[in-house]
Amino acid sequence: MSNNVIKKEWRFNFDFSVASGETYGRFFKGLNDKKIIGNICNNRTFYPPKPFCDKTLKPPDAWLECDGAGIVEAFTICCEKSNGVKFSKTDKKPDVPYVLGVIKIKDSEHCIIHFISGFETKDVSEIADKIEIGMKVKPVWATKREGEILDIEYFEPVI
Amino acid sequence: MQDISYNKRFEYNWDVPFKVTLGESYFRFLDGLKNKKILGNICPKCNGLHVPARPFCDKCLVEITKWYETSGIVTIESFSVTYVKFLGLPDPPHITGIVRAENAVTSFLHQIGGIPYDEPKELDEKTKIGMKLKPVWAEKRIGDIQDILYFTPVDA
Amino acid sequence: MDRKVAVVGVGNTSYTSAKRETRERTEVSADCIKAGFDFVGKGLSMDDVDSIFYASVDAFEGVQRPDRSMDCLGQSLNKATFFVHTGGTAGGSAFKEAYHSVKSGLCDIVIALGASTTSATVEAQQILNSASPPLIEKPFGAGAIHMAGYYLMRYKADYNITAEDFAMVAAKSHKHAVNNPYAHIRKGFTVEEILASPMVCSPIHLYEICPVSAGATCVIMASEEKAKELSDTPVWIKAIDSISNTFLAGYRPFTSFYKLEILAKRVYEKAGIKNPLEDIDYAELFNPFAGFELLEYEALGFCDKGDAPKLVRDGITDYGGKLPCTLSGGTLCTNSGISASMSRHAETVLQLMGKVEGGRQVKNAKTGIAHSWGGNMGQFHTLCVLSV
Repeated sequence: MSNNVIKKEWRFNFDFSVASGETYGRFFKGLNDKKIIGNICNNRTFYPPKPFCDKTLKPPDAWLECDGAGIVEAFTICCEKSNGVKFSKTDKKPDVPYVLGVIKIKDSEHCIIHFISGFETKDVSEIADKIEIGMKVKPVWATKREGEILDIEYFEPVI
Repeated sequence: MQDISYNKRFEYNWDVPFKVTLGESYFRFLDGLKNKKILGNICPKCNGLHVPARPFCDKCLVEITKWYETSGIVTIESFSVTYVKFLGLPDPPHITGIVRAENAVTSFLHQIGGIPYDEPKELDEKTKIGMKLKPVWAEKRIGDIQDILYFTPVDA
Repeated sequence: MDRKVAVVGVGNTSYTSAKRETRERTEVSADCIKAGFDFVGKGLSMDDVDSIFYASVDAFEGVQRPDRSMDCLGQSLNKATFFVHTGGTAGGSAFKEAYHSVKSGLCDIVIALGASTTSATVEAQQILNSASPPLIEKPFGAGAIHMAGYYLMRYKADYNITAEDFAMVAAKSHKHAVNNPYAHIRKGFTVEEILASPMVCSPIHLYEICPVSAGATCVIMASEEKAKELSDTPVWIKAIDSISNTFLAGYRPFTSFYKLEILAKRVYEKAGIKNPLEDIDYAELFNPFAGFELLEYEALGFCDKGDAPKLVRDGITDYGGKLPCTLSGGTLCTNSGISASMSRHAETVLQLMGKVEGGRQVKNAKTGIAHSWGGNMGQFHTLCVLSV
């Protein structure tokens, strides 16, 4: 029966407001000041910091600070625009192609996901030639910073 | 203890559109409202009248295919008067209730209106369980449950 | 395999209003589980835990499948973690799933965590309304409080229940919450204050309605062998079950908590309870709207239909009475949406262990029950019988 294709539409529209807590709060404040904050949890080093040790669930033992230089552990070059993907509250969408990387800062046990850019070309194969796993990168800071993850505009290769 | 001076609030929003297929039974029910008709259907196995009409009887798990047009008169099973402003609800005082059409085996949720009052708090007493109500129709009907604006006392 | 399962530990965080919460979501849960480990002692840590059952609601957390976001559930330690979502009853359901995993012999030590912080929620009504049937009920903006209104208006009309009857049972919760260090609203509102508070949805006054709280509660369960190693006061799970209702509210009779009545019969039979008022020493009932406690007394067989207010007036269900109920202050005084349905179990366990703080400890409580209600405005109930 053709009638059963009749559609009904509605929306979910939810507003959220979440607390950062101390640990992520320190991290975001650090970004505002062009610093990467990390910590030591149960003798293990983490950039970004962890609010508690996975095993003991105890709070961190000490805070660390560095300039954010690290190495690329993995990456992917994104070549197609994706509708509906929001990159931040400003809904800034990077032009394709862009690179999303997995970056290990200093001796951290875990990594951070961020954009890798600064290749001075839009050609996918040229970008592919310029990026490799194990490559050293450092943060490029946004001029206007608000204490959020995009205070780092992207990581760029250290030449 | 946490040093809460570092705490920062982040705000964001989910705005997600949905679109579903109605299926035949719900389509016919909602389409009926467009024509000022409250349609039910009758289970071929237990003979239960379902209003609003639905695709299958949840007790017998059989398809319901026999249609029935009700008089539109419903009875209040229960109700609650809302006295404060709720997001997405009309201004208070505002009544929603559970109403039953004729001898249906199911009831449904709708708004109740047109009950006169001087003070809002009188509505608790003036609205009565067991009261008979009739539908007040929207001028422009689109095949939606809100094509009935609200139910109002039959003698109003 | 059929074996006994005990609760050996309980963890609670402080509860606050969602707007005042300053902890990040996962920190709240980590604090809660750590409190559970500390409660058990004996060096218990995540290494000893086989599985974690986490109860919450996506839209309360602002993240889809919020279990994934919880580092404190042992993801990095290769633990099996499960998300249990049956709306407001999720805490009771996670407790039940955790029990099954030990009862079946698959696990020895498990955690059930109720940690909907709701601290991400700006306007709870947006979320609650999204649980409504979209085609023919959602447009009316009805939420849990309207469902409660229908039950209580009907109860009032059918049994001549008065506004004071409702206020009295609310005052009982408020009085005890003052002495519960984990309760959120600890104002001790009196019957007069409750009746003078604004009417929100008839017949429910503001002080007869739960707050939106942020916080977490967990329980640690163990097999008989492990329970005896870990605890001198294990509390055994005698029987547990849950029951469903229709999705559409319009399909439900509002004349009583008849689903809970059916569930109670099922659970009592398994636990060997014949006369609830005699056989049960303590009950934690789910009362996000204070009047519910009255309907629950009747559904649970504590008294005949319409007689529940008498139990309150006679002090039968108060501290020192024959069957003290909800001395935590209940969901009325602390409701984080989800963990409130596990707090009922946690509180009953503490009563049976003899470890309740704040002068609310019932003497010689041996058998207790914990109830939860919720899921699309009361689609589900869970009921559990615990004993020493």
